[in-house]
Order: sequence, then C-alpha cells, then structure tokens
Amino acid sequence: MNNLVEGQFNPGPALSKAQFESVLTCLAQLSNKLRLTAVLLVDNSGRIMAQKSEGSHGDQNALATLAAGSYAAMRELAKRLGEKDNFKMVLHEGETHNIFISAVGKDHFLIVISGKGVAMGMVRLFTKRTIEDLGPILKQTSSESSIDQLFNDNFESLLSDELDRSLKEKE
Amino acid sequence: MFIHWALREIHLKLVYYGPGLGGKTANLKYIYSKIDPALKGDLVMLNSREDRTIFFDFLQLEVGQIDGKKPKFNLYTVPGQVHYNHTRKVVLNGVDGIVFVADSQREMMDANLDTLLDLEKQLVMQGKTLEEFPWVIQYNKRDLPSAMPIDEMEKKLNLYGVPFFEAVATGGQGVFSSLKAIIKQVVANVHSQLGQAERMRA
Repeated sequence: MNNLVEGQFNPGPALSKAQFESVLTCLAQLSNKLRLTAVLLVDNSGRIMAQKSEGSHGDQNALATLAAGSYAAMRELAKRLGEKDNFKMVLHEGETHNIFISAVGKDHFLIVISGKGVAMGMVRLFTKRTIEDLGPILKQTSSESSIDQLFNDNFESLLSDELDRSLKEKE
Repeated sequence: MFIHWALREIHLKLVYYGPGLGGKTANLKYIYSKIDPALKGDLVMLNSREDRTIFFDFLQLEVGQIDGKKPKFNLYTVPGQVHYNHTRKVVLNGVDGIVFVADSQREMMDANLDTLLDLEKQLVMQGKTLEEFPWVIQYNKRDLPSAMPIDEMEKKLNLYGVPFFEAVATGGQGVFSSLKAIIKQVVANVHSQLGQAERMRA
C-alpha cells in the first residue's frame, strides 16, 4: 500500500495492479491448501483489497465491514484491559464454519472462513505463513499512474449526472 | 478514499453523524429501499435490544461505471448516544465526508450542539477540521410541530456556511439531495486538492 502523490496531497491508500495480482496468488495458495470457504484481505476500514471464495456467501462487503468492526472493537477492548498494542487475532468457532481474523501489519487483516472439517491448528499455521508473505507486498511502492488521470474534470461532471439519474428524490 | 487500481474502483467513506434518534438510520433505510438492487449491497444494522444503533449501520452503493471507473460509496451511521464515544471514533476512521443529521425539535438543540462539538473533536484527532472538511447539514424532522425555524437553526449550527437540506428522512424528503451534495463535495474536494498539489509541483 502506498500514497500516490508522495510529499504532496495525500489522497489516501491505493492498491496497484501488481500488488493485487501478488495478493491474489497468496490468497489462492492459502485457500487451496486448506480448502477454505473464503479468504479476504481487508483494510482497517473494512474495504476488500482481494478475496478468494468458493460459492456465494452473501454480500462480501457486509462481511468485511462487520469483521472490521468486530476486530476494531476487540482491539480496543484488549487495550482497555491493559494489553500492549499487539492485538493479533479474533476467532469464532461456529456450528458449520470457523472465522479466523488475523492482523496483517497495522492497516490490514485477513478473514479466513473454513469449514468445520479443517483443523484450526492448520488454519493458524498456514495463515501465519501467508501473512508473512503479504507484509512485503503491501509495503511495495507503486509505479501506478497518477491519481489525476483517475479524477479529471470529466469524471466530476459525469458522476454528477449519474447521481442525478440514480438518486431520484421523492418530493 | 481508497483506490483499487486493478478493479478501477474508487471507494469513498461517508458517515451520517448526529444526536441519538435524530434520523441517521432512517436515511440509510430510505436509501436502501429506493435504490436499484443491482447498485446496492446488504443494509447492515447493529442494534441493541431497544432497536437503537449500538455500533454502526452500513450500506454500500454504486452508480455504475463512470469514465471507465467504478465509484463505490460506503455509507455508515454512528450511534448517537453520548456514551458511545469510542464507537464513533472507530467508525469515523478514514472518513471522506459527513452528513450531519440535526434533529429540528427545539428541545434537541443542545444535543445537536453537543454532537457537533463532539464531531469537531473527533475530526481534530484525525488532523482535520470542520472548517475545511467536506460536510453538509440535514435538518431532519421538519414535519414535527416543535421544529425550530431554519434561520434559527442555521445561526446555531451552520458556523461555516456548509450546504444544508430540510428533511423528513422517514418519508424520503431531503435524503437523496443530502447524499448527492456530500458526494459532490467530497469529489470536488479531492479535485481541488489535486489542483493545489499540481500547482505546488509546477
């Protein structure tokens, strides 16, 4: 993850195409090894960076946002109990699925959803290795094109027209 | 804002902020009920037993492809009750724009002011200020008999002259105009800051 216009206006984080491809490869390897139901790399705000899932499991954005909220709440709770800032994971063991949420650096986390047939020890071990692989990828600097190519005058007026079309007020 | 170059997605985070029972959730419910299913995700609501927002509500919206890019708007509400201060801090992290939903009832003016001050404090912690940050005010519950006159509310709450909208969120009045206004403000803000950065580089 990187800032696109370093030292100037900081528009926020971005994920380059190269980073995305590398992240997807890591997630696919983890998913194949453990036959996961789903694995998602998400930032602290709950935005999905990349995901690999088998079948449909509802709205993935909702899932990622809830996981982000749950993770943030648990981290804050740990802090209040006097824990150092080294909060790393949340685990939910359900009837049909386990959900394992684990930190990737300070800004991201992995949501790993596995069936009950997969041993949690294996999930933790292989997730740890994947996190080690993801760290350097997310720290890479971008050679991506400038943000002003994405946000130009045209974009602003087209967006405005589209908003007027999609969001019609009931008066 | 977050940019996903590979998917050509631009994510903007918009938060509905305001005193408890002011109508923040009503805004999201109305938007959810009126948007084309292809352009929206699930409406997530984390409520207490009393049906009050305990953590946040969330809804992701799209408006289709624009110039080859896919803008996505992540709408959140915060719990309005005073004691959920820490939760609001978590939800506000990385916010791009705010709709301040003020309750028009005269007896709620102190709560409006307290919440606005709380918002300013939260933004300052993120290195932002209400003076420069994109936000709009929605004066909700205009249909109630005890609604204060708009001029009076403006004098008390709209210290920076931001765009404002009269609303009855449960019926949809003012909901989309507030949403469109904040999205346009956020995009214009990014654009203007890019222009400044460009001039500094030149």
